[in-house]
Amino acid sequence: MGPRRLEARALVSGFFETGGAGTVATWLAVLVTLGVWSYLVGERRLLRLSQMLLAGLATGYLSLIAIREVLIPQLIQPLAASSAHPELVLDLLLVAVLVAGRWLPRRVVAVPAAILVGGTVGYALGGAVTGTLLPQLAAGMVPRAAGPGDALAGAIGVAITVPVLFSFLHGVPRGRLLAGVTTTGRWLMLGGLGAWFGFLLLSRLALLVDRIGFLLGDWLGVLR
Amino acid sequence: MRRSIAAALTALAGLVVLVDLAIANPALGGLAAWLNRLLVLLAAGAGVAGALMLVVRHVGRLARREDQLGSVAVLMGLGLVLLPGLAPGSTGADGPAVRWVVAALLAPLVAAVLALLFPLLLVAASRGLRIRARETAVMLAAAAAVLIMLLPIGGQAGAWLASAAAWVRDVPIAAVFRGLLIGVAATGALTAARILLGSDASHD
Amino acid sequence: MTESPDEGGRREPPEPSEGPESPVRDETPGSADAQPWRRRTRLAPGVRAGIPILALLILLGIASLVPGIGFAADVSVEAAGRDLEAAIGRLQTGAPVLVDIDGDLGTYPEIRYATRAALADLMLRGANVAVVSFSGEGRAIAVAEIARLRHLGVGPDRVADLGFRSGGEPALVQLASEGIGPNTSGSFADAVRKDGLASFRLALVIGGAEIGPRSWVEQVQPRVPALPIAAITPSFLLPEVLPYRSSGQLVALVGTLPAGLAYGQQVAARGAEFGPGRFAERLPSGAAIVFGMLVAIAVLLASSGGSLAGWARAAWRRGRS
Repeated sequence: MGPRRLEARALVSGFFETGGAGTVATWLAVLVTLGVWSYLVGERRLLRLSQMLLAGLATGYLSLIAIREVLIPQLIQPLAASSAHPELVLDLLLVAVLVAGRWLPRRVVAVPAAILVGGTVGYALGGAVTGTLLPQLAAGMVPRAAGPGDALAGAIGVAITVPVLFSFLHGVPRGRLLAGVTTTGRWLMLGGLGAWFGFLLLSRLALLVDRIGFLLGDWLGVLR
Repeated sequence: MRRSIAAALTALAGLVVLVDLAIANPALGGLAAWLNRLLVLLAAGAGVAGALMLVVRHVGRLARREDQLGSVAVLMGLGLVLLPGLAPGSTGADGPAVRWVVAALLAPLVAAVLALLFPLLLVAASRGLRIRARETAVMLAAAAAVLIMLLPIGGQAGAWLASAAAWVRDVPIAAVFRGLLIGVAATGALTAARILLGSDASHD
Repeated sequence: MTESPDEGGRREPPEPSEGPESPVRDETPGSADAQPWRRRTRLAPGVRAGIPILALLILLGIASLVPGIGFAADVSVEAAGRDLEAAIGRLQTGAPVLVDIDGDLGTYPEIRYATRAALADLMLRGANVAVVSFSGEGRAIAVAEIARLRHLGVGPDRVADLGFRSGGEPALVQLASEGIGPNTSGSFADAVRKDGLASFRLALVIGGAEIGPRSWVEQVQPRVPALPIAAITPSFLLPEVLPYRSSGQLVALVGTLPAGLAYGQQVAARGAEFGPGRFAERLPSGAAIVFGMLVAIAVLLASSGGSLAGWARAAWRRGRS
């Protein structure tokens, strides 16, 4: 990979730097890619090492941004700048308990954990009802478009959505009709999940082609 | 006792959030804002706790001489990001050293591992037929249909296929997923209510 | 990774001391060594299982070199791109736009082209952009994209970095109720700090990680209903997000690779200041993707076809009797 290619790439890809650092980065990226893919020829130790390295890098990156971009500006700096935030002292205490949870009694760690679970669940519940459940029920009952073709599509949509919803019923006494609707809903749901699987394959294929493009283009320079 | 305190705190935190969403009240708003900030800080603390636990675990394994190479790789990964990111004078994640580590190692590792999922998913899908043949067959046929409809075929046939693909995506697939979204939201709301009411204390 | 090509009770591949070429002997009756055709292979089972995948990678590599095959922009994908173009086109010069970059590194290559096209489109329309992330991988991508824009000469008065917010949904609520917060500096940040999220004219969500368009619709929309939300997502998120587009909760949705490519070409055709050559980088190889799709279709149909045909035959016989 020559310097001119690197210069050109630096303009379009924020991931790579110019000069020697960029060349080393490219070679390292190639090595780890081939190391992971060596699994296909039966070499598992490189894959395992790569996974361990990835675990360290990902956890390290998450904790770095948590410290630098959340804890320092939202907790440490305001506390250091002024003593007029008594609530921040309580915040600091609870965060410290969570961080040092491994060495503290479980009943102490349960306090911040309970607050975290309760608050997060509360947001999830409120959001699911106000953002998904009610608007989607409304959209399912009253299609937005008005043309005759749209009305037909809306009717088909309702005819599909209702059985899928019924398939969520478990352990409720059913008649023959309801059982039929539920079974239909289950098969429709399976078809929908299959469609999702097709889209998932396309996403992963795009990634694989991109990786191959990286090896052929950025490393070997075969692709333009 | 321990469980009841944790359950009470869970319920209280959840109720504050929910009531604040439903009712505009300045006093409650202040409490909800504090709780919200605390949740953000606790989540950040949980990230730091994860890194700390990883360090303790792998330093321990190194001391016990268990899988030393793997533990060295984990600690090296942590150090490669944390040392330049937390060094005095560094700007953190947007500093050149951390960006370089992300470009050279983190991004290619994630991409290389997940790129293998395309062929491995195909292998797994065909093996799934051994478990529940009929259901899996329907799913795989639907997946194949989606891919066929996304194929870029030119001419009249391609135009017909494209409009069919758009209709299938916007009507039946969207309808199935609307049903799934509503069902999952309702089920999730019930589970959330159970957690808040203390009948599911998984955090305990 | 949960799947492996040699799962299902097959033997682990040999240690490297044995070498990939060394024979793996199995003396049990009926084993591979008892069959002459197997004895000649001299490859460990793990390697044998990996060979078709390796062959696929090589063929995809060869297909990548084939020029001239691309995704034709059909009516539906053009419409998806036009929705986003229209949402951005309605912005006035200097309009503040909030961009949540929360792609994940495993799917970002699929939407990278569309994301860069959208950023170029926003720059072309004179919008000011504030970038925020709620996931670690999203933050890594956001840092790289901001660095790329800085390389292209975009200053902090046009693109402000709001950084990472931890906690997922609580963090989204914090952003919705308290705005960008006090930690971002610059004239653009000062201008949008006072009125909170209501001062933004559009939110563009780049999805892929756990926080995506659905979280925005659930947490931000009820709190800031006047803020229109548009989304770019990888294909695998499309089915989950489609109902929000059809219910009007999302004003635009670009959700597949063809739609992303079509949108990028529409932006490039308008001669964006930051395109086409500069944001475009290298397009994903159309030939390789089409080849991969054909392989996937063949495998899926070959796997399911027999089972479905047998089921249909049995149902027909039952119906006749």
